[in-house]
Order: sequence, then structure tokens, then C-alpha cells
Amino acid sequence: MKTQLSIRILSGVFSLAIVLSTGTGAAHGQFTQNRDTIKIDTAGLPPEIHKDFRVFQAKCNECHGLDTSLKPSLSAAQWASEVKRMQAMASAQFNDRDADQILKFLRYDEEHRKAAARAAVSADFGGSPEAIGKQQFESYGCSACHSVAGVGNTSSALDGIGSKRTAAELRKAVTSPASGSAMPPMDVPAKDLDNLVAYLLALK
Amino acid sequence: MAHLHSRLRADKEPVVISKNRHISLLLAVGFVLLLFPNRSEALPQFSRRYNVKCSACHTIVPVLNEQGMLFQRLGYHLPPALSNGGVSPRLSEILDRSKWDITNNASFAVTDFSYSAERTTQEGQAPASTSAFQVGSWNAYFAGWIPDTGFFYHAEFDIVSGGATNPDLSNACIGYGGGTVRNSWYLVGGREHLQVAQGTRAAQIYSLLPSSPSLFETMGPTNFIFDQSPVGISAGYTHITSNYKHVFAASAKVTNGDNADGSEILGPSARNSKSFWADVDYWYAPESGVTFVDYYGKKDNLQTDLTGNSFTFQPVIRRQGVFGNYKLLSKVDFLGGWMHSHDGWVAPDGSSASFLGNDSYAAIDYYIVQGLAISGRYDLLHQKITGDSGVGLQSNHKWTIGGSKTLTPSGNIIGRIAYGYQSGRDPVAAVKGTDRLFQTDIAFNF
Repeated sequence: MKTQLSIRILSGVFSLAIVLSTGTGAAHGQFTQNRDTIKIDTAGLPPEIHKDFRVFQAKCNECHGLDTSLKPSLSAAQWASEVKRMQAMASAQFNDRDADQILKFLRYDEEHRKAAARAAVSADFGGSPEAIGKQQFESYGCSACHSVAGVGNTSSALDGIGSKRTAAELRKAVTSPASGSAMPPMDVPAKDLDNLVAYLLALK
Repeated sequence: MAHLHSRLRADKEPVVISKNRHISLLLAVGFVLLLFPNRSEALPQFSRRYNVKCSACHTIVPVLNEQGMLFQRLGYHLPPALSNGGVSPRLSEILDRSKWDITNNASFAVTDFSYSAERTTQEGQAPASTSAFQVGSWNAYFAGWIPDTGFFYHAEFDIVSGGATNPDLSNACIGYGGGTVRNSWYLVGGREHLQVAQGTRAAQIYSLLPSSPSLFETMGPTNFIFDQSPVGISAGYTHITSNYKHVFAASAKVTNGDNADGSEILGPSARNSKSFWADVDYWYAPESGVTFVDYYGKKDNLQTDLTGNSFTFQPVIRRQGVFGNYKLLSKVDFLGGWMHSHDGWVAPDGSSASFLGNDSYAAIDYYIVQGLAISGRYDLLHQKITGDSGVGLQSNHKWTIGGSKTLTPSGNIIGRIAYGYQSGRDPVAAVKGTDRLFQTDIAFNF
């Protein structure tokens, strides 16, 4: 009886220790990864785009946080490919009309909010290529899938990437990722790519 | 609940059961099943691993959607896009290459805190009322994949079950998956819950309501319950068409079966007969499907004769069922199922007979918005013992209504409330009983 009681107490203490040491970190990660930080000014959207936004919000938010779509910066063709890919997922419950509306909003968002953010970085920031690249890392939404120093999506950390990859490898990884990779090819202007690679190389 | 149930059964040695005690035991089991909230079953590490919400694989935890079921059948890998004309990748090609760490392979706090109030009546006895605040369950899960291989694993350690601290490893299995995404197969060995990853939604034991359909969780006179976690091996095949429009699946399992008291046989046993279980499933996107289930097993059973002495007999246990659901406009899910039971039975006078059951349920889940649903279910059990010792066809009716709401953007904290009323007579002695149960709980999945 005493042995059984001891085993139960030990099991309880062990479990509690694990929860406190690991579970809390995991819980924090889970809470933050789907918490949306980007707010869309819906009042400033044209009425037609506002309807498209609502479809985007309803459908995409079923499986992932909206930041996952609002952070990355992709070309129109890449967004079309991405939406088509999402439509072919098992949990997707949107038809072609919904897909068109989602795509319209994503293109609009790309051409307005994201373009403005990128322009602000280029215009206002006159620092080193690494510093500009750090800003562009955010404006291109890289943190939707990657983290640096624990900030961003920690499932794919880039800490130390600068000592593991060459500049050429990083350029290729950004613009032409390996087939099978979850990362889409990024359509980044040459100057922005130079800055991004400079920033990544500095992560040692 | 199955784990609670199996734990309760595993803790007991086979005992001589008189007819009245048998009835009391059945009612007590029913009482226990109704009193305690259902288990929490969600694996938050997968949400962390893929950076998705719980709703990527669940309508509302713990009810799986089509993607969640396929996720399990593909060896805990998120089903990739399958478009028309696209090449179907091999499972080995979609292996997740993200870094393996403890947080995306383990969850240590899958728990619920509940309040329940219940009033039961039984012919010949005074009514009884109970109420309780309790930590209903606290489970830890270790599940994931072995990097760069097709192996996957799933272990569940129950720390608290049914409000009582009683550590128990209720699931522990390892599997291997192969083939392509369109045509995949898996082989699993170990202690595995009977219905995890098998069956379309109506055939799953998990529901939005705290209790599962009665036909899964009601113990028959032969101490057999459909919902169990036996040790054995299972194999499955899955075929998926483009855009996941149609999914065909089949699974089969051979297990050790049950002891006389209904607990699962976990190790060597003098009884060498095994139990066989099979299902055939067809999913029709979005989120509708039908499942055929068949179970065949043989177990020991204890019975008391007319002189009060106990004897053992080996009834054959058979279950055949058909289950289906249809989700209308992604809003209203209509679910239903029917299961036929046919067990061997030896009456106290030694005459051979059968236990027959035709049990069914019908349910509606209405998803008002994402993460908020109201539900209603009606359970009907039609059961009898054949022969002269039988008391005729007896019925049990139960209706339950309730609601579920996710309380976080991730969907990993869920609040539930439900009220149910059950009335009927048991098939062995036709003793009438009623049960009113109010439950509310909050489930945490970290």
C-alpha cells in the first residue's frame, strides 16, 4: 500500500515537474503562434475588397492564424498557386468562387499595405545592408515561418544560418527553394535580396 | 472514458455475481459512465509542429474532421495538397523535416475541470443525488514521428481519470506507414484505442457532447464494451482521390481481447482465442461519410447458477454496425448509427440463450460560427436475452443536449455544457432506472 502511494506521489511530482519545465514553454508557443498581430483596417477597404476580406478571414482562419497569410510577401502568380494548393488540402472547404475572392484580397493587400510597408523600409531606413535586411525580413513576412533569437515562428529557427550557408546558397534558398520544401519561391527585387542575404549571413 | 472504464475493470478481480448484484453492477457502471466527463483527447504538439490551429484537424476538440482522421492514417503527417493531375508524393517524401524536439512531440497537460450534478432512480431503491467539482482527467501524450523514417508512435499516460489519481499507460503503440499519399498503408502494434483513426465521424467515440453515444460505452451482460484499448496489431489501407473529394479506407485488427470481467488482456493469457475487428469507410467531401464495422471475439464470462455457485462459459461476441454522417453547408452535421449485438449467453438454469441488441443513435451538431456549436443526440438501446430465462425486449432511451465553445484563437481551451436524461430497463432483470445529469467542464490542451 505504501509502495503504491509512493509511486503515485512520485508520478505526480514527476509529471508536475515536466509540465513546469516543458509544458509551459510549449503552451506559450501554442498561444502565440495563432495570435494575430496584424490588424487590417477594414474601414479603409473598398466595399468589394471588404467582401473578399471577409471570405479570406472566414476560410483561412479555420486552419491557421491570419498572420500566416498577412505576413509573407508573394507575387500574384505565387499567391494564385498558394491559394490553389490550399484548396487542394483535405480540410479546405472553399469553392472556386471563394478562392477567387481570397485571391483578390491577397493581391490587393500585397499591392497596398505590404507595398507601403516595404516602401517605408526602403525610404526611411538608411543603415547598413544587414540592418536594412533585418527590417525587410519583417516586411517580407519571413517571421511567419521563421524565427531569429526566439522571435517569430520557432518551428524553423534561422539562428546561426550565416555560419552554415554561403551567400549563394541563401540566395537560392530564398528565390528557388528545394522541391518539396514548404517555402514558396520569393519574388524579391535584387537590391532587397542583397540586403536580406547580408542580414542572414550576419546571423552567426 | 474508455480508459477510465478499462481502469475500473482492470482493478477488479473476477467475482461471483448474483443476478441482483449483476443488475446493480450494470447500473453502477452506467452511473460511473454518466457521472464523469469524457476523456480529453487532443494532441496539441501537432498544432505546434505544423503551426496550425486545433481546427485544422478538429471541428471542435476532440471531434476530428476529415483532415484529422487522414493525419492519423498517414502516420501523423499532415496530408498535402492533392490537386487534379498532380503527382502523388510518397509518404517518405512528405516527412516533416522540422527539428524534432520535445514540444512538438509531447503534451503534458491535456486536462479538464468539471462540475456535474446527477439524480438517479431505480426500482426498489431510494433516489440518489450527487454533485461534484473535480479535475476529471489529466493526460499526457507522447506522439509523433521518428525523423527520416516512416515510423510513428503514440503513447498516452493517464495521470488522473474520472477524478481519481491513478497512473495508467492506456495507449502505447508504434507503427510504420508507407506507399503514396493517394494509396497508403500502415501497420501498428501495441496497445491502441480501438477506434482511433478508424471510422468516419459518426463511428468515432468522440462527440461534441461530454458523453459518447451509448452504443459505444454501454457494457453488455457479457461484460463486453465496444470502446476499449486492447493490445494487438492493426493494419490499414487508404485511397484518396484528387482534392480529397473521395476517400476509401479499410482497417483490420487482431487483439488479445477481454478478460472475464471485461478488462483488456494486456499480456500472456491462458485464453488463446483472439478478437477480430474490421471497418470499411468512405468519406465524401466535405466532411461526410459512412462506415461499416464488424467485431468478432470470444471471451470468458462468469455467471451464477440457481444454487448460487459460479460457473464460467465462453460466449462468442459479435457486433455489426453501420454509421454515417452528412454535413450540410459546412454548418449542420447530421450523424447516426446502428449496431447489432449478438452474444452467447448461459442462463442461471444452465440453458443456452443469446443476448441480442439493436442499438442506435441520431445526433445533430449545428456549428453556429467557427468554434461554437450546439448539439443534440438521442440514444436508443433495444436489448433482450432470448429463451425462457429472458425478461423480454427492454429499451433504454437517452436524450442529451449541449453546447461547446472554443475559448482561445488556437482552439485549445474548450468550454462545454450538457444536460441529459436517461430512462429504461436493463435486459437481464427488467429493473427500471432513470438518470438526470447536468455537466459542464472546461478542457485544456497544452
